[in-house]
Amino acid sequence: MDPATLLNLFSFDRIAEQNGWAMAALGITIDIACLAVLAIIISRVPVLVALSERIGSFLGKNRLPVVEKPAAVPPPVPENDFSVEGARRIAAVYKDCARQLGASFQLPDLYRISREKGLPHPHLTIKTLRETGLLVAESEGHFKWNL
Amino acid sequence: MPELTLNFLRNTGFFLADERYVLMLAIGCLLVYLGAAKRFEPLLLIPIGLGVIIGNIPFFEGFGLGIYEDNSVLHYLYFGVTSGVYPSIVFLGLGAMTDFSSLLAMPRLMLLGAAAQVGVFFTLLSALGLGFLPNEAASIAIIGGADGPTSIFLTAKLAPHLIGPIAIAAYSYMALIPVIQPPIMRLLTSRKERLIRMPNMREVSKKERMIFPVVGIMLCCLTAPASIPLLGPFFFGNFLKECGEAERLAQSARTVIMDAATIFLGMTVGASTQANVFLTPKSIGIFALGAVAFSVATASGIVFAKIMNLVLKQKINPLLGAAGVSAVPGSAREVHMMGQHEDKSNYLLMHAMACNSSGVIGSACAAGILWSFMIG
Repeated sequence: MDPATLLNLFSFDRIAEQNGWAMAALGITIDIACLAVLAIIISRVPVLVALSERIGSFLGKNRLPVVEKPAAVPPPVPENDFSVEGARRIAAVYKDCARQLGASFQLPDLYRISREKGLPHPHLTIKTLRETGLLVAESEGHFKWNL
Repeated sequence: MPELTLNFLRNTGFFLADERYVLMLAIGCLLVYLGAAKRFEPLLLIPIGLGVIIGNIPFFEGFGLGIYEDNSVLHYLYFGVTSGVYPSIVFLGLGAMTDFSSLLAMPRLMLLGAAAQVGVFFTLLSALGLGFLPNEAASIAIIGGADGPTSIFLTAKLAPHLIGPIAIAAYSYMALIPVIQPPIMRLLTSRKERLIRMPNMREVSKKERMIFPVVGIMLCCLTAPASIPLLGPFFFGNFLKECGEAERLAQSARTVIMDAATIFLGMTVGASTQANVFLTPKSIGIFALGAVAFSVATASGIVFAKIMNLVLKQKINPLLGAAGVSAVPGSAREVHMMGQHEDKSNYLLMHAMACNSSGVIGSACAAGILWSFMIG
Protein backbone atom coordinates (compact mmCIF):
# COMPACT_ATOMS: atom_id res chain seq x y z
CA MET A 1 0.00 0.00 0.00
CA ASP A 2 1.50 3.37 -0.95
CA PRO A 3 1.91 6.12 1.64
CA ALA A 4 -0.77 8.29 0.01
CA THR A 5 -3.36 5.55 0.39
CA LEU A 6 -2.27 4.95 3.97
CA LEU A 7 -2.63 8.64 4.76
CA ASN A 8 -6.08 8.66 3.18
CA LEU A 9 -7.14 5.91 5.59
CA PHE A 10 -6.75 8.32 8.48
CA SER A 11 -8.45 11.69 8.68
CA PHE A 12 -8.45 14.29 11.43
CA ASP A 13 -11.65 15.73 9.94
CA ARG A 14 -13.48 12.54 10.82
CA ILE A 15 -12.43 12.96 14.45
CA ALA A 16 -13.73 16.53 14.53
CA GLU A 17 -17.00 15.53 12.82
CA GLN A 18 -17.74 13.01 15.55
CA ASN A 19 -16.74 15.41 18.36
CA GLY A 20 -13.83 13.09 19.11
CA TRP A 21 -11.46 15.70 20.54
CA ALA A 22 -14.00 16.86 23.11
CA MET A 23 -14.92 13.29 24.09
CA ALA A 24 -11.27 12.32 24.54
CA ALA A 25 -10.33 15.44 26.53
CA LEU A 26 -13.41 15.35 28.73
CA GLY A 27 -13.30 11.60 29.20
CA ILE A 28 -9.71 11.40 30.42
CA THR A 29 -10.23 14.48 32.61
CA ILE A 30 -13.25 12.93 34.32
CA ASP A 31 -11.47 9.58 34.75
CA ILE A 32 -8.35 11.09 36.31
CA ALA A 33 -10.36 13.52 38.43
CA CYS A 34 -12.60 10.74 39.78
CA LEU A 35 -9.65 8.60 40.83
CA ALA A 36 -7.78 11.59 42.19
CA VAL A 37 -10.73 12.48 44.42
CA LEU A 38 -10.98 8.83 45.49
CA ALA A 39 -7.27 8.86 46.34
CA ILE A 40 -7.68 12.04 48.39
CA ILE A 41 -10.66 10.62 50.28
CA ILE A 42 -8.95 7.35 51.13
CA SER A 43 -5.81 9.20 52.22
CA ARG A 44 -7.96 10.96 54.82
CA VAL A 45 -9.69 7.77 55.98
CA PRO A 46 -6.98 6.82 58.54
CA VAL A 47 -7.45 10.24 60.17
CA LEU A 48 -11.23 9.76 60.30
CA VAL A 49 -10.87 6.22 61.65
CA ALA A 50 -8.49 7.44 64.39
CA LEU A 51 -10.90 10.27 65.23
CA SER A 52 -13.88 7.91 65.44
CA GLU A 53 -11.89 5.58 67.69
CA ARG A 54 -11.00 8.48 69.98
CA ILE A 55 -14.62 9.58 70.12
CA GLY A 56 -15.64 5.99 70.78
CA SER A 57 -13.17 5.59 73.64
CA PHE A 58 -14.24 8.98 75.09
CA LEU A 59 -17.88 7.92 75.02
CA GLY A 60 -16.88 4.52 76.35
CA LYS A 61 -15.38 6.13 79.50
CA ASN A 62 -18.82 7.47 80.47
CA ARG A 63 -20.60 4.16 80.05
CA LEU A 64 -21.23 1.56 82.76
CA PRO A 65 -18.56 -1.11 82.66
CA VAL A 66 -19.57 -4.04 80.52
CA VAL A 67 -18.53 -7.51 81.55
CA GLU A 68 -16.80 -8.91 78.54
CA LYS A 69 -16.51 -12.54 77.71
CA PRO A 70 -12.86 -13.56 77.81
CA ALA A 71 -11.47 -13.77 74.29
CA ALA A 72 -11.04 -17.30 73.03
CA VAL A 73 -7.45 -18.28 73.59
CA PRO A 74 -5.99 -20.55 70.94
CA PRO A 75 -4.48 -23.72 72.30
CA PRO A 76 -0.78 -23.39 73.07
CA VAL A 77 1.37 -23.91 70.00
CA PRO A 78 4.49 -25.91 70.66
CA GLU A 79 7.17 -23.42 69.70
CA ASN A 80 10.25 -24.46 67.76
CA ASP A 81 9.06 -28.06 67.62
CA PHE A 82 9.17 -28.88 63.95
CA SER A 83 9.54 -32.61 64.30
CA VAL A 84 6.93 -34.59 62.34
CA GLU A 85 4.66 -34.93 65.38
CA GLY A 86 5.27 -31.34 66.38
CA ALA A 87 4.47 -30.08 62.90
CA ARG A 88 1.22 -32.10 62.89
CA ARG A 89 0.19 -30.56 66.23
CA ILE A 90 0.97 -27.08 64.90
CA ALA A 91 -0.93 -27.75 61.69
CA ALA A 92 -3.95 -28.93 63.69
CA VAL A 93 -3.92 -25.67 65.65
CA TYR A 94 -3.65 -23.58 62.48
CA LYS A 95 -6.41 -25.58 60.81
CA ASP A 96 -8.69 -25.06 63.80
CA CYS A 97 -8.02 -21.33 63.96
CA ALA A 98 -8.53 -20.90 60.23
CA ARG A 99 -11.63 -23.08 59.79
CA GLN A 100 -13.60 -20.04 58.57
CA LEU A 101 -11.46 -20.10 55.42
CA GLY A 102 -12.93 -23.39 54.36
CA ALA A 103 -11.20 -26.37 52.79
CA SER A 104 -9.41 -24.37 50.11
CA PHE A 105 -7.76 -21.06 50.85
CA GLN A 106 -4.98 -18.69 49.90
CA LEU A 107 -1.82 -18.32 51.97
CA PRO A 108 -2.16 -14.56 52.55
CA ASP A 109 -5.57 -15.22 54.20
CA LEU A 110 -4.05 -17.95 56.43
CA TYR A 111 -1.20 -15.62 57.34
CA ARG A 112 -3.61 -12.81 58.17
CA ILE A 113 -5.77 -14.99 60.44
CA SER A 114 -2.77 -16.49 62.22
CA ARG A 115 -1.54 -12.98 63.01
CA GLU A 116 -4.99 -11.90 64.19
CA LYS A 117 -5.15 -14.93 66.52
CA GLY A 118 -1.70 -14.13 67.87
CA LEU A 119 -0.06 -17.36 66.76
CA PRO A 120 3.73 -17.15 67.04
CA HIS A 121 6.03 -16.96 64.01
CA PRO A 122 3.30 -17.39 61.41
CA HIS A 123 5.56 -16.82 58.40
CA LEU A 124 8.15 -19.39 59.45
CA THR A 125 5.45 -21.84 60.55
CA ILE A 126 3.53 -21.69 57.28
CA LYS A 127 6.77 -22.14 55.34
CA THR A 128 7.61 -25.21 57.45
CA LEU A 129 4.12 -26.67 57.06
CA ARG A 130 4.52 -26.40 53.28
CA GLU A 131 7.94 -28.03 53.38
CA THR A 132 6.67 -30.93 55.50
CA GLY A 133 3.75 -31.48 53.09
CA LEU A 134 1.06 -30.73 55.66
CA LEU A 135 -0.01 -27.75 53.59
CA VAL A 136 -0.24 -28.60 49.92
CA ALA A 137 -1.06 -26.65 46.78
CA GLU A 138 -4.45 -27.46 45.34
CA SER A 139 -4.89 -25.20 42.36
CA GLU A 140 -3.51 -21.88 41.18
CA GLY A 141 -2.87 -19.86 44.31
CA HIS A 142 -5.01 -22.12 46.56
CA PHE A 143 -3.87 -24.52 49.26
CA LYS A 144 -5.42 -27.22 51.42
CA TRP A 145 -4.51 -29.18 54.54
CA ASN A 146 -2.97 -32.62 54.22
CA LEU A 147 -3.48 -33.89 57.78
CA MET B 1 -30.86 -46.13 0.81
CA PRO B 2 -28.29 -44.35 -1.41
CA GLU B 3 -30.52 -41.25 -1.48
CA LEU B 4 -30.78 -41.31 2.31
CA THR B 5 -27.02 -41.58 2.60
CA LEU B 6 -26.52 -38.76 0.13
CA ASN B 7 -28.96 -36.52 2.00
CA PHE B 8 -27.18 -37.28 5.26
CA LEU B 9 -23.79 -36.47 3.73
CA ARG B 10 -25.12 -33.20 2.29
CA ASN B 11 -26.11 -32.10 5.81
CA THR B 12 -22.76 -32.83 7.40
CA GLY B 13 -20.39 -30.03 8.33
CA PHE B 14 -17.80 -31.48 5.92
CA PHE B 15 -20.09 -30.79 2.97
CA LEU B 16 -21.18 -27.36 4.15
CA ALA B 17 -17.68 -26.11 4.97
CA ASP B 18 -15.74 -23.68 2.86
CA GLU B 19 -12.32 -22.06 3.24
CA ARG B 20 -13.58 -19.44 5.71
CA TYR B 21 -14.80 -22.06 8.16
CA VAL B 22 -11.55 -23.98 7.82
CA LEU B 23 -9.57 -20.82 8.58
CA MET B 24 -11.68 -20.02 11.63
CA LEU B 25 -11.33 -23.58 12.90
CA ALA B 26 -7.58 -23.21 12.51
CA ILE B 27 -7.68 -19.94 14.47
CA GLY B 28 -9.66 -21.68 17.20
CA CYS B 29 -7.07 -24.45 17.36
CA LEU B 30 -4.31 -21.85 17.54
CA LEU B 31 -5.96 -20.13 20.49
CA VAL B 32 -6.38 -23.46 22.29
CA TYR B 33 -2.71 -24.25 21.60
CA LEU B 34 -1.58 -20.85 22.93
CA GLY B 35 -3.65 -21.33 26.06
CA ALA B 36 -2.94 -25.01 26.78
CA ALA B 37 0.60 -25.54 25.49
CA LYS B 38 2.14 -22.08 25.79
CA ARG B 39 0.12 -21.14 28.88
CA PHE B 40 -0.88 -17.70 27.54
CA GLU B 41 -3.89 -16.73 29.69
CA PRO B 42 -5.17 -20.33 29.67
CA LEU B 43 -8.28 -19.58 31.73
CA LEU B 44 -9.46 -17.29 28.94
CA LEU B 45 -7.91 -18.48 25.68
CA ILE B 46 -8.96 -22.11 26.16
CA PRO B 47 -12.71 -21.36 26.49
CA ILE B 48 -12.51 -18.75 23.72
CA GLY B 49 -10.54 -21.06 21.42
CA LEU B 50 -12.93 -23.96 21.90
CA GLY B 51 -15.84 -21.56 21.51
CA VAL B 52 -14.42 -20.44 18.14
CA ILE B 53 -14.25 -24.09 17.08
CA ILE B 54 -17.81 -24.78 18.29
CA GLY B 55 -19.20 -21.64 16.68
CA ASN B 56 -17.59 -22.25 13.31
CA ILE B 57 -18.76 -25.78 12.69
CA PRO B 58 -20.97 -25.32 9.63
CA PHE B 59 -24.53 -26.55 9.98
CA PHE B 60 -27.87 -26.42 8.23
CA GLU B 61 -29.51 -23.20 9.30
CA GLY B 62 -33.05 -22.99 10.65
CA PHE B 63 -32.84 -25.83 13.14
CA GLY B 64 -31.95 -23.78 16.21
CA LEU B 65 -28.30 -24.83 16.32
CA GLY B 66 -26.26 -21.70 15.85
CA ILE B 67 -25.52 -19.02 18.39
CA TYR B 68 -27.47 -16.43 16.42
CA GLU B 69 -30.52 -18.63 16.00
CA ASP B 70 -33.40 -18.28 18.44
CA ASN B 71 -34.12 -21.24 20.71
CA SER B 72 -30.60 -22.64 20.41
CA VAL B 73 -28.71 -23.57 23.55
CA LEU B 74 -25.78 -21.41 22.56
CA HIS B 75 -28.13 -18.48 21.98
CA TYR B 76 -29.50 -18.77 25.51
CA LEU B 77 -25.99 -19.00 26.95
CA TYR B 78 -24.96 -16.02 24.81
CA PHE B 79 -27.61 -13.92 26.52
CA GLY B 80 -25.21 -13.54 29.43
CA VAL B 81 -22.80 -11.74 27.11
CA THR B 82 -25.24 -9.50 25.25
CA SER B 83 -26.99 -8.48 28.45
CA GLY B 84 -23.72 -7.85 30.33
CA VAL B 85 -24.48 -10.44 33.03
CA TYR B 86 -21.28 -12.47 32.72
CA PRO B 87 -18.89 -9.47 32.95
CA SER B 88 -20.74 -8.26 36.04
CA ILE B 89 -20.40 -11.67 37.68
CA VAL B 90 -16.71 -11.82 36.78
CA PHE B 91 -16.22 -8.39 38.35
CA LEU B 92 -17.98 -9.62 41.50
CA GLY B 93 -15.41 -12.37 41.74
CA LEU B 94 -12.55 -9.99 40.95
CA GLY B 95 -13.60 -7.71 43.78
CA ALA B 96 -13.82 -10.66 46.15
CA MET B 97 -10.23 -11.65 45.38
CA THR B 98 -8.59 -8.22 45.21
CA ASP B 99 -6.60 -6.96 48.16
CA PHE B 100 -6.52 -3.16 48.12
CA SER B 101 -4.19 -2.85 51.13
CA SER B 102 -1.23 -1.75 49.06
CA LEU B 103 -3.34 0.86 47.27
CA LEU B 104 -4.81 2.14 50.54
CA ALA B 105 -1.33 2.36 52.05
CA MET B 106 -0.18 4.60 49.20
CA PRO B 107 -3.20 6.31 47.62
CA ARG B 108 -1.10 8.41 45.21
CA LEU B 109 -0.50 5.25 43.16
CA MET B 110 -4.16 5.44 42.15
CA LEU B 111 -3.23 8.26 39.78
CA LEU B 112 -1.04 5.90 37.76
CA GLY B 113 -4.01 3.62 37.15
CA ALA B 114 -5.95 6.65 35.96
CA ALA B 115 -3.11 7.88 33.75
CA ALA B 116 -2.94 4.55 31.92
CA GLN B 117 -6.48 5.18 30.66
CA VAL B 118 -5.01 7.79 28.29
CA GLY B 119 -4.50 4.76 26.05
CA VAL B 120 -8.28 4.29 25.90
CA PHE B 121 -9.03 7.82 24.75
CA PHE B 122 -6.05 7.99 22.40
CA THR B 123 -7.35 4.85 20.72
CA LEU B 124 -10.81 6.42 20.55
CA LEU B 125 -9.34 9.24 18.47
CA SER B 126 -7.39 6.80 16.29
CA ALA B 127 -10.46 4.66 15.64
CA LEU B 128 -12.58 7.68 14.76
CA GLY B 129 -9.85 8.91 12.44
CA LEU B 130 -9.78 5.56 10.67
CA GLY B 131 -13.50 5.82 9.94
CA PHE B 132 -15.04 3.60 12.60
CA LEU B 133 -18.45 4.70 13.83
CA PRO B 134 -18.46 6.33 17.30
CA ASN B 135 -20.00 3.25 18.98
CA GLU B 136 -17.45 1.01 17.30
CA ALA B 137 -14.60 3.38 18.14
CA ALA B 138 -15.59 3.40 21.83
CA SER B 139 -15.72 -0.41 21.90
CA ILE B 140 -12.29 -0.65 20.27
CA ALA B 141 -10.88 2.06 22.53
CA ILE B 142 -11.73 0.16 25.72
CA ILE B 143 -9.25 -2.52 24.65
CA GLY B 144 -6.71 -0.02 25.98
CA GLY B 145 -8.14 -0.60 29.43
CA ALA B 146 -6.63 -4.09 29.21
CA ASP B 147 -9.64 -5.54 30.95
CA GLY B 148 -11.38 -8.41 29.15
CA PRO B 149 -14.77 -8.32 30.90
CA THR B 150 -14.93 -4.54 30.57
CA SER B 151 -14.18 -4.75 26.85
CA ILE B 152 -16.83 -7.41 26.34
CA PHE B 153 -19.36 -5.52 28.46
CA LEU B 154 -19.00 -2.25 26.59
CA THR B 155 -18.86 -3.90 23.17
CA ALA B 156 -22.02 -5.90 23.93
CA LYS B 157 -23.80 -2.62 24.64
CA LEU B 158 -22.39 -0.45 21.87
CA ALA B 159 -21.20 -2.66 19.00
CA PRO B 160 -22.28 -6.28 19.56
CA HIS B 161 -21.30 -7.25 16.01
CA LEU B 162 -17.65 -6.62 16.97
CA ILE B 163 -17.60 -8.70 20.17
CA GLY B 164 -15.63 -11.53 18.59
CA PRO B 165 -12.63 -9.61 17.20
CA ILE B 166 -12.53 -7.18 20.14
CA ALA B 167 -12.59 -9.96 22.75
CA ILE B 168 -9.91 -11.94 20.97
CA ALA B 169 -7.80 -8.81 20.48
CA ALA B 170 -8.19 -7.80 24.14
CA TYR B 171 -7.29 -11.21 25.57
CA SER B 172 -4.51 -11.83 23.06
CA TYR B 173 -2.80 -8.57 23.90
CA MET B 174 -3.22 -9.23 27.61
CA ALA B 175 -1.35 -12.46 27.03
CA LEU B 176 1.31 -10.54 25.08
CA ILE B 177 2.01 -8.09 27.91
CA PRO B 178 5.49 -9.66 28.47
CA VAL B 179 6.28 -8.81 24.85
CA ILE B 180 4.67 -5.36 24.56
CA GLN B 181 5.58 -3.68 27.82
CA PRO B 182 9.30 -4.31 28.51
CA PRO B 183 10.66 -2.45 25.44
CA ILE B 184 8.46 0.55 26.22
CA MET B 185 9.54 0.51 29.87
CA ARG B 186 13.20 0.42 28.89
CA LEU B 187 12.77 3.14 26.29
CA LEU B 188 11.02 5.62 28.57
CA THR B 189 13.03 5.17 31.76
CA SER B 190 16.68 5.61 32.65
CA ARG B 191 18.60 3.09 34.73
CA LYS B 192 18.72 5.57 37.59
CA GLU B 193 14.93 5.83 37.55
CA ARG B 194 14.48 2.06 37.42
CA LEU B 195 16.60 1.78 40.56
CA ILE B 196 14.30 4.02 42.61
CA ARG B 197 13.17 2.16 45.70
CA MET B 198 9.67 2.52 47.02
CA PRO B 199 9.07 2.97 50.75
CA ASN B 200 7.69 0.09 52.80
CA MET B 201 3.92 -0.07 52.95
CA ARG B 202 2.23 0.82 56.23
CA GLU B 203 -0.22 -1.54 57.88
CA VAL B 204 -3.79 -0.91 56.72
CA SER B 205 -6.57 -1.45 59.23
CA LYS B 206 -9.65 -3.55 58.61
CA LYS B 207 -11.86 -0.45 58.94
CA GLU B 208 -10.02 1.25 56.09
CA ARG B 209 -10.37 -1.82 53.91
CA MET B 210 -14.09 -1.87 54.64
CA ILE B 211 -14.65 1.84 54.08
CA PHE B 212 -12.87 1.85 50.70
CA PRO B 213 -15.41 -0.20 48.69
CA VAL B 214 -18.30 1.83 50.07
CA VAL B 215 -16.63 5.14 49.18
CA GLY B 216 -15.56 3.69 45.83
CA ILE B 217 -19.06 2.63 44.84
CA MET B 218 -20.55 5.97 45.75
CA LEU B 219 -17.91 8.14 44.12
CA CYS B 220 -17.36 6.19 40.91
CA CYS B 221 -20.98 5.27 40.30
CA LEU B 222 -22.28 8.74 41.08
CA THR B 223 -19.72 10.18 38.65
CA ALA B 224 -20.42 7.68 35.87
CA PRO B 225 -23.66 5.78 36.56
CA ALA B 226 -23.04 3.72 33.43
CA SER B 227 -20.24 1.97 35.34
CA ILE B 228 -22.70 0.60 37.93
CA PRO B 229 -22.99 -2.88 36.34
CA LEU B 230 -19.22 -3.33 36.63
CA LEU B 231 -18.08 -1.32 39.64
CA GLY B 232 -21.17 -2.08 41.72
CA PRO B 233 -20.50 -5.86 41.85
CA PHE B 234 -16.75 -5.20 42.01
CA PHE B 235 -16.89 -3.17 45.20
CA PHE B 236 -19.65 -5.38 46.58
CA GLY B 237 -17.42 -8.43 46.17
CA ASN B 238 -14.57 -6.56 47.82
CA PHE B 239 -16.74 -5.60 50.77
CA LEU B 240 -17.82 -9.23 51.17
CA LYS B 241 -14.14 -10.15 51.40
CA GLU B 242 -13.09 -7.40 53.77
CA CYS B 243 -15.99 -7.39 56.24
CA GLY B 244 -15.05 -10.88 57.37
CA GLU B 245 -18.64 -11.80 58.21
CA ALA B 246 -19.49 -13.17 54.79
CA GLU B 247 -16.35 -15.12 53.99
CA ARG B 248 -18.40 -18.00 52.56
CA LEU B 249 -20.07 -15.66 50.09
CA ALA B 250 -16.76 -14.07 49.16
CA GLN B 251 -15.21 -17.50 48.72
CA SER B 252 -18.06 -18.60 46.43
CA ALA B 253 -17.89 -15.35 44.45
CA ARG B 254 -14.16 -15.63 43.74
CA THR B 255 -14.19 -19.36 42.95
CA VAL B 256 -17.16 -21.29 41.59
CA ILE B 257 -19.38 -18.35 40.61
CA MET B 258 -16.64 -16.45 38.80
CA ASP B 259 -15.30 -19.61 37.17
CA ALA B 260 -18.76 -20.53 35.84
CA ALA B 261 -19.21 -17.07 34.36
CA THR B 262 -15.70 -17.17 32.85
CA ILE B 263 -16.39 -20.53 31.21
CA PHE B 264 -19.64 -19.43 29.56
CA LEU B 265 -18.31 -15.97 28.74
CA GLY B 266 -15.26 -17.33 26.96
CA MET B 267 -17.09 -20.10 25.17
CA THR B 268 -19.96 -17.99 23.87
CA VAL B 269 -17.74 -15.06 22.87
CA GLY B 270 -15.62 -17.51 20.92
CA ALA B 271 -18.70 -19.12 19.37
CA SER B 272 -19.98 -15.70 18.30
CA THR B 273 -16.78 -15.09 16.32
CA GLN B 274 -18.00 -16.10 12.91
CA ALA B 275 -15.97 -15.92 9.72
CA ASN B 276 -18.07 -13.19 8.13
CA VAL B 277 -17.33 -10.85 11.07
CA PHE B 278 -13.81 -11.91 11.97
CA LEU B 279 -12.21 -12.26 8.54
CA THR B 280 -12.73 -8.65 7.50
CA PRO B 281 -10.49 -5.57 7.11
CA LYS B 282 -12.20 -4.16 10.22
CA SER B 283 -10.68 -6.96 12.32
CA ILE B 284 -7.23 -6.06 11.07
CA GLY B 285 -7.92 -2.47 12.08
CA ILE B 286 -9.11 -3.65 15.51
CA PHE B 287 -5.97 -5.71 16.07
CA ALA B 288 -3.75 -2.83 14.98
CA LEU B 289 -5.57 -0.39 17.23
CA GLY B 290 -5.38 -2.86 20.12
CA ALA B 291 -1.59 -2.82 19.89
CA VAL B 292 -1.66 1.00 19.83
CA ALA B 293 -3.99 1.05 22.83
CA PHE B 294 -1.76 -1.17 24.98
CA SER B 295 1.40 0.65 23.99
CA VAL B 296 0.02 4.12 24.62
CA ALA B 297 -1.52 3.01 27.94
CA THR B 298 1.86 1.70 29.10
CA ALA B 299 3.69 4.81 27.93
CA SER B 300 1.20 7.23 29.44
CA GLY B 301 1.39 5.57 32.85
CA ILE B 302 5.19 5.79 32.85
CA VAL B 303 5.22 9.40 31.62
CA PHE B 304 2.67 10.40 34.26
CA ALA B 305 4.84 8.89 36.97
CA LYS B 306 7.78 10.93 35.72
CA ILE B 307 5.62 14.07 35.77
CA MET B 308 4.56 13.29 39.35
CA ASN B 309 8.24 12.96 40.30
CA LEU B 310 8.76 16.59 39.29
CA VAL B 311 6.70 17.68 42.28
CA LEU B 312 7.09 14.82 44.74
CA LYS B 313 9.78 14.71 47.41
CA GLN B 314 9.49 10.91 47.74
CA LYS B 315 10.01 9.81 44.14
CA ILE B 316 7.96 7.07 42.55
CA ASN B 317 9.67 4.43 40.45
CA PRO B 318 8.31 5.30 36.97
CA LEU B 319 8.12 1.61 36.05
CA LEU B 320 5.02 1.50 38.25
CA GLY B 321 3.20 3.57 35.65
CA ALA B 322 3.24 0.53 33.35
CA ALA B 323 1.38 -1.42 36.02
CA GLY B 324 -1.52 1.01 35.67
CA VAL B 325 -2.50 -1.10 32.65
CA SER B 326 -5.06 -3.31 34.33
CA ALA B 327 -3.88 -6.65 32.96
CA VAL B 328 -3.85 -8.18 36.45
CA PRO B 329 -1.36 -9.56 37.47
CA GLY B 330 0.67 -9.71 34.24
CA SER B 331 1.70 -6.07 34.07
CA ALA B 332 2.51 -5.94 37.79
CA ARG B 333 4.71 -9.00 37.35
CA GLU B 334 6.53 -7.43 34.38
CA VAL B 335 7.20 -4.24 36.36
CA HIS B 336 8.50 -6.24 39.31
CA MET B 337 10.75 -8.34 37.07
CA MET B 338 12.17 -5.29 35.33
CA GLY B 339 12.92 -3.73 38.71
CA GLN B 340 14.56 -6.98 39.83
CA HIS B 341 16.63 -7.06 36.66
CA GLU B 342 18.26 -3.79 37.68
CA ASP B 343 18.45 -4.51 41.41
CA LYS B 344 17.69 -7.91 42.89
CA SER B 345 16.74 -6.40 46.23
CA ASN B 346 14.22 -3.92 44.80
CA TYR B 347 10.75 -5.37 45.44
CA LEU B 348 8.15 -3.50 43.44
CA LEU B 349 5.44 -6.18 43.31
CA MET B 350 3.14 -4.86 46.04
CA HIS B 351 3.32 -1.30 44.73
CA ALA B 352 2.75 -2.57 41.19
CA MET B 353 -0.32 -4.49 42.36
CA ALA B 354 -1.66 -1.25 43.83
CA CYS B 355 -1.39 0.39 40.41
CA ASN B 356 -2.90 -2.69 38.78
CA SER B 357 -5.97 -2.63 40.99
CA SER B 358 -6.46 1.07 40.47
CA GLY B 359 -6.22 0.40 36.73
CA VAL B 360 -9.19 -1.97 37.03
CA ILE B 361 -11.22 0.82 38.63
CA GLY B 362 -9.96 3.33 36.07
CA SER B 363 -10.85 1.15 33.07
CA ALA B 364 -14.34 0.42 34.42
CA CYS B 365 -14.81 4.19 34.96
CA ALA B 366 -13.61 4.81 31.40
CA ALA B 367 -16.14 2.28 30.11
CA GLY B 368 -18.91 4.04 32.03
CA ILE B 369 -17.81 7.43 30.70
CA LEU B 370 -17.67 6.20 27.09
CA TRP B 371 -21.09 4.57 27.41
CA SER B 372 -22.48 7.81 28.83
CA PHE B 373 -21.07 9.73 25.86
CA MET B 374 -22.58 7.29 23.37
CA ILE B 375 -26.06 7.14 24.86
CA GLY B 376 -26.11 10.89 25.58
